[in-house]
Amino acid sequence: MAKFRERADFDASPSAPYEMLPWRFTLLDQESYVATNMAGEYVLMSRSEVAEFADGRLAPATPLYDELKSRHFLIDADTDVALDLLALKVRTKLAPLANFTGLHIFVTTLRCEHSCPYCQVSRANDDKREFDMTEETALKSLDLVFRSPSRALKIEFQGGESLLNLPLIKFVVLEAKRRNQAAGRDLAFVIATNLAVLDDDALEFARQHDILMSTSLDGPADLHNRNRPRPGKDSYERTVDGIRRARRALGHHSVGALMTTTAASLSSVRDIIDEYIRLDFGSIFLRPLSPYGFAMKTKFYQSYDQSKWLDFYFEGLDYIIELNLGGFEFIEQYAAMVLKKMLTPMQTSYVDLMSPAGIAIGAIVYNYDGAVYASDESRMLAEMDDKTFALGNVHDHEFAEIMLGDALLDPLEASFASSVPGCSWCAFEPWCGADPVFHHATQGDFVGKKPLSAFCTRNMEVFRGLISRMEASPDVRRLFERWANII
Amino acid sequence: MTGDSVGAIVVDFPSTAFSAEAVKRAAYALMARYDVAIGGDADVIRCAIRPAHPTVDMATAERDLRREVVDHDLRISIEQRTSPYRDAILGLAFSKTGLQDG
Amino acid sequence: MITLRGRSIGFNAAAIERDSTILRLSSDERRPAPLKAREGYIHSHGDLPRGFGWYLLKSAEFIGQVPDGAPGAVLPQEFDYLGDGDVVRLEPARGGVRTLFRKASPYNHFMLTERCNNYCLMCSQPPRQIDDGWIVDEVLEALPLIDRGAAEIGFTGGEPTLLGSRFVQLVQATGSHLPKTALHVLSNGRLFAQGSLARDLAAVRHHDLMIGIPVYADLAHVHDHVVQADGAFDETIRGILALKQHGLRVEVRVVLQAQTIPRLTALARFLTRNLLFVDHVALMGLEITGFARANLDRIWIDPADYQAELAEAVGILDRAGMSVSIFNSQLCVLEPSLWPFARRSISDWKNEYMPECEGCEAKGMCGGFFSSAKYQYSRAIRPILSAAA
Repeated sequence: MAKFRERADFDASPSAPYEMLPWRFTLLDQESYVATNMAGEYVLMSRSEVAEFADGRLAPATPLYDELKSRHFLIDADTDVALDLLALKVRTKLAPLANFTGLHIFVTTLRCEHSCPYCQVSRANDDKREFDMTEETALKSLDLVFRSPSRALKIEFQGGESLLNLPLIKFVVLEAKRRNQAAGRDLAFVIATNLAVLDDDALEFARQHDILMSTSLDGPADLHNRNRPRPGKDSYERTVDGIRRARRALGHHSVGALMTTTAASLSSVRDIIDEYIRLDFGSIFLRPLSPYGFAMKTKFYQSYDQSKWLDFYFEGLDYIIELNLGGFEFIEQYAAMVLKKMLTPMQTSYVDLMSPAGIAIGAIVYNYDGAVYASDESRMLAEMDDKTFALGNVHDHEFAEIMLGDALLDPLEASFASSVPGCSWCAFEPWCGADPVFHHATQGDFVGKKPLSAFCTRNMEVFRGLISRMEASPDVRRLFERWANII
Repeated sequence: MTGDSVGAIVVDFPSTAFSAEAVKRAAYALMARYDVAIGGDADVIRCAIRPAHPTVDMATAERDLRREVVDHDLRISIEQRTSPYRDAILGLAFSKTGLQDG
Repeated sequence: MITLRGRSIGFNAAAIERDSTILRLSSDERRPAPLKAREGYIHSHGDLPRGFGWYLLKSAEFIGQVPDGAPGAVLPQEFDYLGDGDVVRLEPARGGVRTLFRKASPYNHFMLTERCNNYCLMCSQPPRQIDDGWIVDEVLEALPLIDRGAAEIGFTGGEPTLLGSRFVQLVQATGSHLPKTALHVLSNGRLFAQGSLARDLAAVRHHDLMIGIPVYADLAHVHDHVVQADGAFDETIRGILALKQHGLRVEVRVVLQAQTIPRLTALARFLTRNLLFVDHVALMGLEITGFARANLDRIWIDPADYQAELAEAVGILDRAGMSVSIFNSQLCVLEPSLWPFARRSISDWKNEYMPECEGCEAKGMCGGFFSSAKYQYSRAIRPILSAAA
């Protein structure tokens, strides 16, 4: 039997200086920095540790050295398989790009009987059919849908109030399914609706074809109705009734709700969350207000700034964490999506946090008139006479003209986060995104000056807030690990 | 020395120790609070700091800029020293097949 | 503990001159004649049916009943377990018998070679550098005799991949002869890192193959120390990547011992970030045999003392959606939250219970111990008296 060697005998790292792998650092709080590698894995360090590591002065076999080596911030004389693994992880984060557009939004009509001040779409009266999508437009749009190489295709119907053009929804669903017999994709359908006009005919059709419903629920009755006025002032009551009826017909998990944050919401986050719990939802998505459409026109957006929204967000998140630690499972979806990028090697399909930007390559919009937009926000801008992100029209342009035109490629290239000032040296870049539409709308160019960007401020504070909470509590860390793998 | 330094806090960075790139990045990073005008000559990079808005407190302006420049100088150094590995990893990432579904 | 190998077996006169042979055993007197002729009748009681190629008796009193000229042997009491469908090798010249396959066992494994390119501190099958190429021949010969209803068989060693193309040939033969049987191969994975072995193995397209590969730490030198081989970690990881690249199923195995426990949670995080795509993670209780006994002072840690690390590691893996199992751990020592991950798994020829287990109501669920555990086991072993719901 040969002699057994000691562990130190196998550790060649003291024999030569270590070499840093690509990494970045950004301030977390007064005492520490966040360091990230190319795959978005993070380590916390003090400022002196940052300098020590960067200077080559970090000693082998110390806890920080071991952590940096384990997480692929350095290689040394002992091992270099980190290169293979980092390449694999980078590839994993980027691979979903090859799937191209997964979410296809059909604007079936601009008609709507609500008059929400934050609405991102121009309203039109109830009997104006010229704001409805035609079957011819739908067919041409479907041509483009099936040109996407994505295995999974989700068709989402929006508006106005999409159900006001139910015949067109039926037409698209049936035609898409017919084409899919040959195409063999994973097809999914969602109807975004305020549920106020949901009738049995629509419910039966949705049931037959496994269509999901997504509705707006802004909070308790008074808040919801204040945000979402309609004739009769009963938006909330109709929404609740619609949720109940839709769940009964389609199944509990077939109905989802999204909230929109307004100035009125900012002081009521717990009430809003309680309302979602009261209505038996398992999660909430605490969304920021986007500065488009009617929000901009009515100066609604200027009525609050990012720090107020951040207070709102973290008050809500902390409340939800408290509920979870007390044994009640409830997810905050925005955090879950961000955590997936932070804590796993996987990528999310959340369009707002993609780099290259999610415009057209994550989601695309076919408007009622055949105009193709790079995103819902692009459509909002067009309603305000800014057609920067209009990519063409289904009646006039082929797939290649739309997808390879400058209107799309210029903002994608210009805004790519790994290349632009501010982002290219930011430790949070692997978790963040590029939003050329937002920066164009707020600052006038695709890139924006990031220190002046509400998108940047908001995201950085969310990253910091999530990390601080994980560092402060192992229970929160475990909760976040679960969330990161649910979405 | 060009530039109007009147009413500004002036901070000099020796060109031997700091790169212009680091100073520019620092100025960029601080733009929400300070306007930094960059000038100088062969030996010195001269920064003139003014408030970006009337409400900005200038008490820590010089310290903030110095810290920011040091940090960015370090970042640039790290980027330069690790760029061969960055290229190697990206090259490997795009050359291999398989393992896409995690 | 079941005896698989016997010496000084009493062969009759007709048997002594015979060559070494591999036989399927039968206890069915109505076995068709062509099959009888090449099988061994395994006898417990009653008359001996005519027509079998061999007769194996569990009691010497029947030796006179063996048909004239037919070879036979009397097996010692340790072999009373042999039955219909089992496969044995008889070595009359040396008076030897070896059990190769037991139909009643849910898991039969074949050691393909004693050679190895690692030298693990706790190796339960210490390597020997010998020419044992004959083993592959034996397995190839035994495969067609093995019951095709067997759920799973295993290949172990030493390091099976040292056999190179013969290993691939064996996998292919196993898939052919046993088309419904799962094959579990234990390997350190290193030789898959280079060359065409992973590709060749994938080309076999075995219907149900899993390769179990140990990874003992997230840091190279800690892993290399456990396996006593420089550069092993990098090769093992690259081997795993190569196998997955070719679509083969991989299980990561971690033996829970004093050298692996301190970095167990770091390893779990490492697996969730770097090897998320492996098909299974197996956390193994220590078997105190072979080198493990010699190195006990380096590797022994009472399982009662690492439950916190184990629970955290399992939690990290489980939350990331990885499939996790705990093997060779007794239920009374495991944290109750870990019971859903515990598998009853010690091969039945190895397992036993301790005096402290007397009266335990959970014995049926618990795997018990390796018989080698009598040298060292947890101070926390105690009977579980009210079976948890």
